[in-house]
Amino acid sequence: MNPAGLGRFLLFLWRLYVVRRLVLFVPLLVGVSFVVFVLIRMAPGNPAYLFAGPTASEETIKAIERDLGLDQPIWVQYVRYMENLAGGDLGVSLVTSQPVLHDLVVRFPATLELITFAMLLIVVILIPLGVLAAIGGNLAGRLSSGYGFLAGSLPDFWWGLMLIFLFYTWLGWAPVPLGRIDFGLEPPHRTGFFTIDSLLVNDFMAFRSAVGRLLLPGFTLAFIFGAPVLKHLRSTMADGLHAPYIQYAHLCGLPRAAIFRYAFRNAIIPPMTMAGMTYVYLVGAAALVESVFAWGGFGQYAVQAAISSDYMAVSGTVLAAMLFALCVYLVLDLVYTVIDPRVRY
Amino acid sequence: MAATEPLGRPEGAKPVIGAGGGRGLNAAVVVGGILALGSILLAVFGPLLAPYPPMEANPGNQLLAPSGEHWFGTDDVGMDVFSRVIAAPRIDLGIALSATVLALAIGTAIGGIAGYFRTWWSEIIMRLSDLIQSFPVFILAMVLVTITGQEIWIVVAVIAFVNVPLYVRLIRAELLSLRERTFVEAAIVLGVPPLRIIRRHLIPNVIGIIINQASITMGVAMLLTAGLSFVGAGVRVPTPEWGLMIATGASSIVTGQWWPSVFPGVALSLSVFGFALFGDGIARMLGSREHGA
Repeated sequence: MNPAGLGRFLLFLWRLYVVRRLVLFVPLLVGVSFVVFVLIRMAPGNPAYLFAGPTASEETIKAIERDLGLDQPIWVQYVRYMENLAGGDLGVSLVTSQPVLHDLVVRFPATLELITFAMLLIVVILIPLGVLAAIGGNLAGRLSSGYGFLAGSLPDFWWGLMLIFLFYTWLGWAPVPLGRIDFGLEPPHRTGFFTIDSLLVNDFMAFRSAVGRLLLPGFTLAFIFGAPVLKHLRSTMADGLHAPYIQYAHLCGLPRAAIFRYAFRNAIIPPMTMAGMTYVYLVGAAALVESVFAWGGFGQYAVQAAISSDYMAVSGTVLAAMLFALCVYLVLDLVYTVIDPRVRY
Repeated sequence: MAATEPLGRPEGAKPVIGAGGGRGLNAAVVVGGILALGSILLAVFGPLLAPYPPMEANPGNQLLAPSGEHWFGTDDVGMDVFSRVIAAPRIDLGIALSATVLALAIGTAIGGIAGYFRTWWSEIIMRLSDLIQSFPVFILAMVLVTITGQEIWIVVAVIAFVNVPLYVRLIRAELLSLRERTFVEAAIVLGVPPLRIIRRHLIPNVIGIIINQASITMGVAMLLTAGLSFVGAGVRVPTPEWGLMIATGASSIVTGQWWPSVFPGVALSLSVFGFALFGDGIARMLGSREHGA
């Protein structure tokens, strides 16, 4: 390709909104990685001790410090870290002795499957309820506001335990709250989503088991974190149904279903932003519920990394969570253009 | 986010305290106030009222069911659950209250300055709070607590730190519109120094919003404290703390001993619920629109 053609091509790419946003990810992630790096290095305590174990001699620790580059000035360490990062190398976890990237790739789908399931529950159950509450008048409004207060006051990990007690210990309806699937049923790894992987190989027993395990933690998250979405949708929808353009549509004699669709399309945008933020928030917030259900996902990895001062794993988890957030917000912005034709980029 | 919502009064709202039709709101303030006050009283007197020493293990009395002697039963090392539940607010509320006051003070000061002076550095402050807010809160708090050492005052500082940006954002957004009002212009003309304008004329105008946000922060801070302790990144055993009690009770819940984890969870939820309800009720009474409570 000649240089002029290449230039035109790059210009074309730059005009694409998605590409522009993706390019902006880079400085953001560099900024975040810098903050995380500095925060972690401010910590007292020496990761080399953790690496070497309690019985290591002074020399071993010195050697490990040299190996890990911990004897270098902090800016040298940062430059080295960024160099590795550019090559997709997040370092090696001190706890699992595996590359952090590998650990994250293995664990992220577990969390993603769980929080996506929770989001599905929110969309399928709570959004219709929010719309109903908007039509339902005063009592429905009070009920949804009461639910909002209740859900906002419950610790999610405790709520998960209560559901375990009720549905597993007492009623015996739920499967053992340990892990993502019954022992020995793991489907061959394709996507890392057990529900999808089991369907790909037509293993319905594994699918049933995976869905069964998703139910309790999924409901826990949906119940607690769906409340703000419902409350918000109720108020935007109630406002929307009384807006002048809706009254005008009524006067014009439009069918109720059409009027309702107009109101819903306008009312759904703010709660959707909220749902997107909830989805992002859940990646970190699910850590507690994951611990309760021994889910073995990203959240539990983050807990383990933080508690054992596994500094490479900590930086990696924070970066992964940020990257996920940026991707969700990008997708959300693209969805707005579909729902609301006034939005253009 | 809530701060960017339009602040105009919704049609038909009754901002005047004591105006008719506000019965429901007052009930919220009363119920919330009782619960919040109850938790505060327990934080002060709880450890004195406890029938058993809240940190004393009793190996002969493990996992006893609730009875007349042990109202809430005993946990897996034989400590009296009731004594621990009523002793815990001193830790939980103590942490939450200090963190809230700290976040409120720092956030209001920074937000007030960033809202009044619109210069390049107030822009930097805003981008910095964007950055802090874009971190996953729980992971950030967990990492900060564990790398700086698990002391109670560090838990306080970290919870305050992650909440400061909320206040900065809220106060700044309010001041941006308030500072265009005539009374501020009058103060400027009279030669009142800017910091005094912020302190004496602007901040008192947003007090309702601050109270409401503070009551939300109280709840969030209590839940965060409990969550951190639950995963082992907060206060340590055997300190009486609700999250830690739920964690130690978690192992026995699958075998049917529900009391060591149910009661601290109920207490925590009631306390958070009380503060949220109270703050929301107060904010409505003061006539500001509810802010995402």
